[in-house]
Amino acid sequence: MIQSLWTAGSGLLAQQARVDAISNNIANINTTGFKRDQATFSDLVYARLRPADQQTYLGPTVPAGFDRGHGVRVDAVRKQFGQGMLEMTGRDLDLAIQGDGFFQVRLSDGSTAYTRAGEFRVDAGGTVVTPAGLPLLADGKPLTVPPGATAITVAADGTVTATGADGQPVKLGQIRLTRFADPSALGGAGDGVFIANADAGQPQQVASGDGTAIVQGALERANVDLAQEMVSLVLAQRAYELSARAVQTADQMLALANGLRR
Amino acid sequence: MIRGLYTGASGMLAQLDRYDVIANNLANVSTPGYKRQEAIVEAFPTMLMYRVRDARDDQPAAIGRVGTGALLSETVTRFDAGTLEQTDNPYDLAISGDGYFAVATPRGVRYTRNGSFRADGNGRLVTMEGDAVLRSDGAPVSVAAFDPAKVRVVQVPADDLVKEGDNLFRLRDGAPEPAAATDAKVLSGRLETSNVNPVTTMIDMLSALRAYEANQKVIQAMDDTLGKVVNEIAR
Repeated sequence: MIQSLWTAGSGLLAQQARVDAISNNIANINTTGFKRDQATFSDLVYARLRPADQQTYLGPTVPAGFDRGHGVRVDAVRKQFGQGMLEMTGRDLDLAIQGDGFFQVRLSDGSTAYTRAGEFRVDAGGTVVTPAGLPLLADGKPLTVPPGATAITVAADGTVTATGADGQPVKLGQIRLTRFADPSALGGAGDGVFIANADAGQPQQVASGDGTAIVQGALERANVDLAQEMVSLVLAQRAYELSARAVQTADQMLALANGLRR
Repeated sequence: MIRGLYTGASGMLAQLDRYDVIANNLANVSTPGYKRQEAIVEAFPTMLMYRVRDARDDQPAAIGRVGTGALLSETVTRFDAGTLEQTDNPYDLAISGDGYFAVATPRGVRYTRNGSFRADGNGRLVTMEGDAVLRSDGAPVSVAAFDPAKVRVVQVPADDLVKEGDNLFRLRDGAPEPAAATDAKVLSGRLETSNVNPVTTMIDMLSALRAYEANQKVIQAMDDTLGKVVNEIAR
């Protein structure tokens, strides 16, 4: 009925989306390899109700026009891929990536997916898998550990070696990391796994020695800073209150208009 | 009497338009780079009033001038700077000083203070919508070897900018091409917040509401008086 009701309503919706993103971040504060969501806003289109530099029928020329805005919208809720802190666990198959890049894993349909969550284990068949059972790829095929092998070592460039059952060192493969130009465009498949799509850019293999390293015996924590999220939550809540008050005031104005004829 | 009804109605409509502008500012209180609008309310021209059947020397007797209402004549954008908020995203840029980023949209070059950019699939620096941010030489900024100092910052007089939505400004028709900014610095890892002051905006909102209510009372009073004229005088 009146534009300000819808404008204020758009403010409520936008702040709600921001609170949703913040609560998801806080809920996942202990998830290995989690990347925080960030909501960004932009204002909506303006209606040119009166052009600028036009002589109004009042007489004087009005230099600025009357541009009426329509509120705010959520531009995007995107993942931020800043580095999370590394937590040393000392476990052989806990791997963390220092720098940009993703591990490659294979989904049940055979396609490749990407993840930062490096908490791996060896399954009954000797394949190195994620907690969800997805095999870790090294040199394009699932990484397997021969029975009886011990002292699995992963070098910073991804080379995996172990001591075989016969006591001889054996090379198991090389874990290659993949990088994307815009990782925030990757589709999330849950369980910390991302699927490639065209908007993220072509997957590029990370060459060793360009600053990215795999750290064995460590896990990457979520890149969520609790203090920052709480401050954002307070700001979002207060902005939500402001918009709610604006809706109430618009409602009061409508009530006044309705009360004209008693 | 009936003139008074329209005067009161024009007051209500002017306050309603003013409130639309205030509500838009409030909705955008956390939009980065948003510049608040102010509504300017102007009075209608005054009318010269005459006494009825009281001519003197064949000249009607004038009483004086009466205003005939108000309307919202224009919205002015206030370009004072918002505070800089620290994010830790290297692609979040903020301008310290007077200037605007230049962004290439399908509709032409647009200007913005909103520096929340990202990398796209082709390695360029883009806005969240996917529009490329321009370098000093007009080419898109590439993300490889990213140097915030190379991002183009132009200086545009406030009168030449028109709000378009999506945090973008376009040039007014006939405005000259903007020149490079002289005293602006591009800071990385920071975002400029909205320059809406919640306190003054809430006060404006209350004053618009009460002015709307006052005008409503004017219309009701006029209506009561008209009621008396119509129903009781000629009984």
